[in-house]
Amino acid sequence: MTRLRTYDRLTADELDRVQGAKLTRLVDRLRTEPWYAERLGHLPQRLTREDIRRLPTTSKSDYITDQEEHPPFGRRLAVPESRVAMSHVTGGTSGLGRETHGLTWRDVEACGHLSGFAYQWAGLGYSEPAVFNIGMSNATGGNAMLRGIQSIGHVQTLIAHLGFKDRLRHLLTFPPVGMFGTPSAINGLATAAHELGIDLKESLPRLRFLLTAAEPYPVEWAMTMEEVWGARLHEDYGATQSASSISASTCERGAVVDGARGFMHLYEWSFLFEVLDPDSEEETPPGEFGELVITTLDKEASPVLRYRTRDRVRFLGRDACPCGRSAAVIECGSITRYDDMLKIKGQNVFPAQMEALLFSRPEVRELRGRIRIDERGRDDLLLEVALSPGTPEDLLTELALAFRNEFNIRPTIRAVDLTDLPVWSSPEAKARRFIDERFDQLAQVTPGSVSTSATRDDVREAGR
Amino acid sequence: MTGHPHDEAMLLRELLRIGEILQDSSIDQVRMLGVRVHALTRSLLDSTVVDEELLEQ
Repeated sequence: MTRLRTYDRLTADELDRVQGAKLTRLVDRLRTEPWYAERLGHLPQRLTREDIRRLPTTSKSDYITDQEEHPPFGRRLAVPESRVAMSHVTGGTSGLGRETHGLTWRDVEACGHLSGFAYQWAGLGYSEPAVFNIGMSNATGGNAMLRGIQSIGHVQTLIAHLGFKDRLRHLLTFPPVGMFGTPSAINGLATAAHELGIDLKESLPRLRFLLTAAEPYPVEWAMTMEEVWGARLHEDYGATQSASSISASTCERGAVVDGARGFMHLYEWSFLFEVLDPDSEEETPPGEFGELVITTLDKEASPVLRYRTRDRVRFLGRDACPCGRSAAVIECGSITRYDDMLKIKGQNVFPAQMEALLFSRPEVRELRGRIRIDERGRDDLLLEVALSPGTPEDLLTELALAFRNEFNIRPTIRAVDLTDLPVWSSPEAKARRFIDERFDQLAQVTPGSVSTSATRDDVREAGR
Repeated sequence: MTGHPHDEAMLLRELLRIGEILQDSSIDQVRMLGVRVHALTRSLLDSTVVDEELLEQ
């Protein structure tokens, strides 16, 4: 009897062979698609993983230009439009626009199968319940989490649409074995529990793991959360361009091992990842930081070829993790950006766009945006705005509304004196009007600031 | 059938083929079932379960 085996247990040599075979299959399929054919050039019939270097890299602007000329999916849609079962839109408002990526039914199911690895390695077992703190929308995250958990276990309740206290009530009513949340969400829930007098470790005895993503965090914060929640912290990486799926995650060892940052295994059997110097496009040696570049090997509807993510990752190579998996790893907790994109309340936004909106009103003379964790543990954008003398403060309400409509972020906004804000008039000084204070704030979190000794019943009562 | 009912890999291959056949059904709901079965199996072979035929190429 032949038993099945899973891709994560392939040897390095087998991974190379799978990547070569899948790259050959992908290129063969795309040769007749004009958008790709222009980029493929003359390639041999049979390819190895190294042949990827013969192709040019692609970027967001390539995809946006294509989409604008051939809406809604662009010429890079590699299947008939009738086969598109779902689509995802990138959150970035870089000024270039939002990318739209189509998915066939195969792509939708694969998103679940792949994302399921993150949950399985973190400790989710067959038919066990888990929850996720990310909303369902046209963005990728919610769907990847839902389908990822469902590929192995259950999602008994959705919680992302609720306030932190109501979420805690749901967690106690439907105790999960695992929970996904950004560092801000995990921290916010711990803070809310502290306010309500809940001991999370005692109240959620089945909780085995926390899975986080999307924001960098200090090691000390990770260890504090493990202590407060009584669960191991894990991490994943994913993007709309990585087939709308989780495409790297920690193995059983977790995100912090022996007080140091752990590793995320890249899902190399379904993606061809490169980590490149962003200027020279030369491969980054293990141990160094570089830009993550993605080629989707299996995606049907909107494949990406050597897509430059602008994500800055620390690459550590293959066979670096003692868990026995060969797939290459990147470091946990240290992914940042090569551009100035910010992730605020789950939305990807760029300072230039936010400034353009606010300065579109001539009454706005200067501004500062502070991205921080508020006193209730929530992600917050505080906009400090200096208005021209005599401007009615009603303008602040108008600006807040316009901001919410444009970026889907509800800011805290207040008027300040012009002299309270930094001066950016020097021509050589690049204005940095938006400052992310969250990493430093997370570093200040201690078990005493977020944990107490109340019971499960207390939280149920408080949440009502 | 394959004649190997306990062979997991061959059963997956059969499932893939059944999905393909159902996609040609005269009833829309059954056609869609075929699309889903085929997509589910194909994605499983691409993403999770090693497609041994791919390794042999």
